Amino acid sequence: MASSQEKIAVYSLSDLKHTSDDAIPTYLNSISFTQSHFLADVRLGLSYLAFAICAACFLWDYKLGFEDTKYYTAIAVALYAIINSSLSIWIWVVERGIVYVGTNKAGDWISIQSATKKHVPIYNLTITVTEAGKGGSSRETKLSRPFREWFDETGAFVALPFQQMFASNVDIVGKADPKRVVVEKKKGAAAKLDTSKTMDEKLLNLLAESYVDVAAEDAGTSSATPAKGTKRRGKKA
Amino acid sequence: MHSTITRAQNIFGFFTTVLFVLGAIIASTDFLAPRTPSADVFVKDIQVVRGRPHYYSTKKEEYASIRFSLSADFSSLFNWNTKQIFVWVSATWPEPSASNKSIHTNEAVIWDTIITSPSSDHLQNIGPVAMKKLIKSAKGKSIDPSRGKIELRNQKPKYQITAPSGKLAELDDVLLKVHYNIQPWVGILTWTQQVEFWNWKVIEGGVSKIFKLPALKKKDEKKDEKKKTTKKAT
Amino acid sequence: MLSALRNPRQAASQIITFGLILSTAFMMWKGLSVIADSPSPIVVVLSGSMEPAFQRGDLLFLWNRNFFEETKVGEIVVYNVKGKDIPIVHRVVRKFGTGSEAQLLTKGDNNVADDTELYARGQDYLERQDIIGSVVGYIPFVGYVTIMLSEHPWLKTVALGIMGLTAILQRE
Repeated sequence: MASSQEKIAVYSLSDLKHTSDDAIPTYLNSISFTQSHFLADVRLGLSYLAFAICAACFLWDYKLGFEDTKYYTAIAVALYAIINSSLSIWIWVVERGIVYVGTNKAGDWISIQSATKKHVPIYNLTITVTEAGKGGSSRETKLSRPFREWFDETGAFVALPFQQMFASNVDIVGKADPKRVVVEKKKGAAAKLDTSKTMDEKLLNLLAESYVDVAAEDAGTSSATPAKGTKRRGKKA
Repeated sequence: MHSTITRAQNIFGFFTTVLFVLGAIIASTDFLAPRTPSADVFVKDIQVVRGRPHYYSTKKEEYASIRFSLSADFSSLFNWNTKQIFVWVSATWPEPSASNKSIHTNEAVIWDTIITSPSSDHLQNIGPVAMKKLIKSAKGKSIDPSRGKIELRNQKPKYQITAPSGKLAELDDVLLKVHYNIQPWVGILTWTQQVEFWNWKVIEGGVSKIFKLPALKKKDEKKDEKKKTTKKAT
Repeated sequence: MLSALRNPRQAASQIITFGLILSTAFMMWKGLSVIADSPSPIVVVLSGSMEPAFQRGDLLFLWNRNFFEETKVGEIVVYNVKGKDIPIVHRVVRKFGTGSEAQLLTKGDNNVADDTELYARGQDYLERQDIIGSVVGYIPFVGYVTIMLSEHPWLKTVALGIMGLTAILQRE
């Protein structure tokens, strides 16, 4: 809640991103989301396995010399290369910048992916929500916000606007933390978040909101939803 | 902390990348320069004497001293990436007990020389007068066309050859071979070309006729040794 | 960031990031070792005995396999002498016989005498097994850092400390 006690260099894009990334689990876990560490655990497992092989190789090379152990060393080098490439594949193909995976009490599943472009101080988020009992269909929300919205000029992290961003744009976060949902004035009646219960309604809110917000864009992953949503919105308006 | 160290790292990383790429490019230009070395080597006078390997040794061994003439042109081996070429003449011979006398399993260098490129003249381990002369000889030239040309008449060997068995007298099927090793400023080292490789030709000549070492020289014959003239390598 | 250390996964992740930098460097070295079949595929020249070809601090790439032909006269080899720690880089000037039994004599281009004096007591020639590689590639001066590090050991501590600190305190 309170701004982080540490200050970062505001010119360091990696510091901005990492501090923001770190704030996501802190926030979501505080509003009763349960984080899944599977991705990180596999990554750590592969990393430590590679390191262990290297350490073993170092030890036998140091104790017994090169000549007596060179075939084992060759195997270790090959294994290390394989594990390290798997690690790279895991990071680039599977993790793809995912900084948070978790579920809420209802069993809805959320995955948040973050990215920055070189020299552009904008935080790009791709939030995928799969709701429980919907047959695995998921929705993707893309947000692009400048870091200055939640970092002050001294480099201190201000949690409130950051958390509001999630609460306002991701319905399951908004539901879990209604206090931080900000409804912009420009929005029409359809944008109200409080009573909507059906999935279409929620999607509608989401769409309407992103429609107003220039920086945010909405994209549906499940094939039919966007068209459906647009139609409904048209009816209501 | 962040910016200073990261920036230093970035600059250093970029600097080393540039250096290595530049080095690789320079090294690869070696392949563009044609190499057409040639050498003619002739055996002149041979003597086999008995002696001790060093002053305190009680063991007596036979030593062969082979005088030779060499006329070689290695000037094409020099380019802007050449630091020096190392040229040597070695004697090779088959094991006397071997059935196939064409396989020369023994080799010993009898004479060698370092020919520096003008760019590395200052690194030579020679006296100040010779150094001055050497540097003057290539003043203003990055490649000196006269470098690598060798004319030796009846050259006394730098090294007398021996064999682990201690026996050399009347050894047959001996050959002299001329070799070179090119030392670049950066890149791969190359030795006497064995097969033609694009611009790089095999050495023309470079092998003497087969000869036989003479019988052991008697003590009284040992006087008329030091009269012959030698010419310095350039 | 020290607050990151409160989260064990993040701490583990930052430690292993540094660990993987070190281990990857080591495994690349070992990979090169295995390919070149040499315990030390890259060496730094420590003496001037091969001048002007090699000077102190130059980096040499070694190859220790005999795919096409044996190690022969004229090659510049790096060899170890029993009872001596420091490998020597000199040129082979004599070779008698073939195979692993071949007797090799070496000499530094810049030395007047051959290496008989440098060999172990009673050893007149090298054997193939004493050689840890023949020089095939050359980069000047780059290895001078290691000479500095070995002559001023405190630099090692400083360099390692800085490396460790930056890797732990900074995330990329």
